[in-house]
Amino acid sequence: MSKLHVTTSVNGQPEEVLCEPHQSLLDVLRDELGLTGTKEGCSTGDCGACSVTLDGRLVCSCLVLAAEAEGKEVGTIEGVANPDGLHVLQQKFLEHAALQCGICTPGFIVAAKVLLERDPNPDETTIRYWLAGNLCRCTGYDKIIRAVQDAATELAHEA
Amino acid sequence: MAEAHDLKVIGTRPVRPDGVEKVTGRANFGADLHLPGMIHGKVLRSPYAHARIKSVDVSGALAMEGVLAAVCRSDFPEETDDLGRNVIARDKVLYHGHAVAAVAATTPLLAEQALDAIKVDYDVLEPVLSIDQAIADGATLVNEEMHTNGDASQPASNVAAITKFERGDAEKGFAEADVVVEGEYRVPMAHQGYIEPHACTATINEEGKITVWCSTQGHFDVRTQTAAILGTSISKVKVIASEIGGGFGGKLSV
Repeated sequence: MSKLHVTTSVNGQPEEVLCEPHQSLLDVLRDELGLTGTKEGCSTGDCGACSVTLDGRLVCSCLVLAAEAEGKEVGTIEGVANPDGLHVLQQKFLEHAALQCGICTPGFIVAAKVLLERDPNPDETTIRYWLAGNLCRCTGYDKIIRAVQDAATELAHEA
Repeated sequence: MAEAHDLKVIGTRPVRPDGVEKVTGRANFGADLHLPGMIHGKVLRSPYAHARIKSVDVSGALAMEGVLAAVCRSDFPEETDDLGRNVIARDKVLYHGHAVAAVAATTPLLAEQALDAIKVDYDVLEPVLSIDQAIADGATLVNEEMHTNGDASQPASNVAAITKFERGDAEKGFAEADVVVEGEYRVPMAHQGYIEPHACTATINEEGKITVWCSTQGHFDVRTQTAAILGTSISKVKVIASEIGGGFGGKLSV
């Protein structure tokens, strides 16, 4: 089985990888590019720990073949903070103690960031529905919701 | 009572010390370690809930290109305990999914494919599928070496343990009660459901010294158990606990 040559962009950086046709985007990010911030939980699209963006669209990277990233822009947790510091969402997750073990946290932050880009002022119900594809076993979700609400408020003030 | 400003901890909202690593994706969990030359393991599991293993032949897997090792029961020390028997099945498989053999290959896909080349000859036995069936008189014994509460003076049993919580005189209480409500209550089997699967990376050097990086709630227990399962000394095993993506008691042992 010959490998596929995939040219893509990850967090704004051009990347070229050789991957097996069956390899998921998750496997290639973690095993070929060393970006282990994206986590593998269920590998069936149920837990959301592997959430990334593909041309700005929120996807479970375990359900995307790496070959599908050809010519597209991939966004992962490693690209959320900027050189000046943490993203507001990351700061608010810390302030609200919206994480314990942290395995789901990259997925939640990537997903919440897409939500706030689309809807800068979401109500609680909207946030809960948007994050319904991300599972957390430690926090009980409430602190995560409050962190996202607080981040939305702060981003609105900054705008 | 001290004034609020005198308290160093109470009333403050400290940020957790591992927080920044976790919100940026830099925290290393069980599967996040990649070593040079790392190979990948896969486990062949029993498709039967109860069966006697007549033979295991891993030679087909070993003959495949890219497969570097294949092991089964004969590769582990004879002397073992429940944990050792759970890690790799001996004369019998005791549940659906019981590990029977394992392979290591250069890629996860090759390892997966190599599992199909392992031949296991089973003598399928009657499964025990309910508590009622397990505790009935003359019930089929699943683990023939198990005795209730470990009491070997009693015959082998499907009942692993009987635990009683008692306080006061229950009989007297019932006799004096105006109303007695009786019922039978059953609790389903539960799994802890952590988001991070069990994961482990290990190395062994020429002197037989082993280093294990894994997601665990008890790295000293893992060290003791790894040494026992492999028949080596604990001084040859070093276990380094990674960040743990949930455990809830499910990552206490090997």
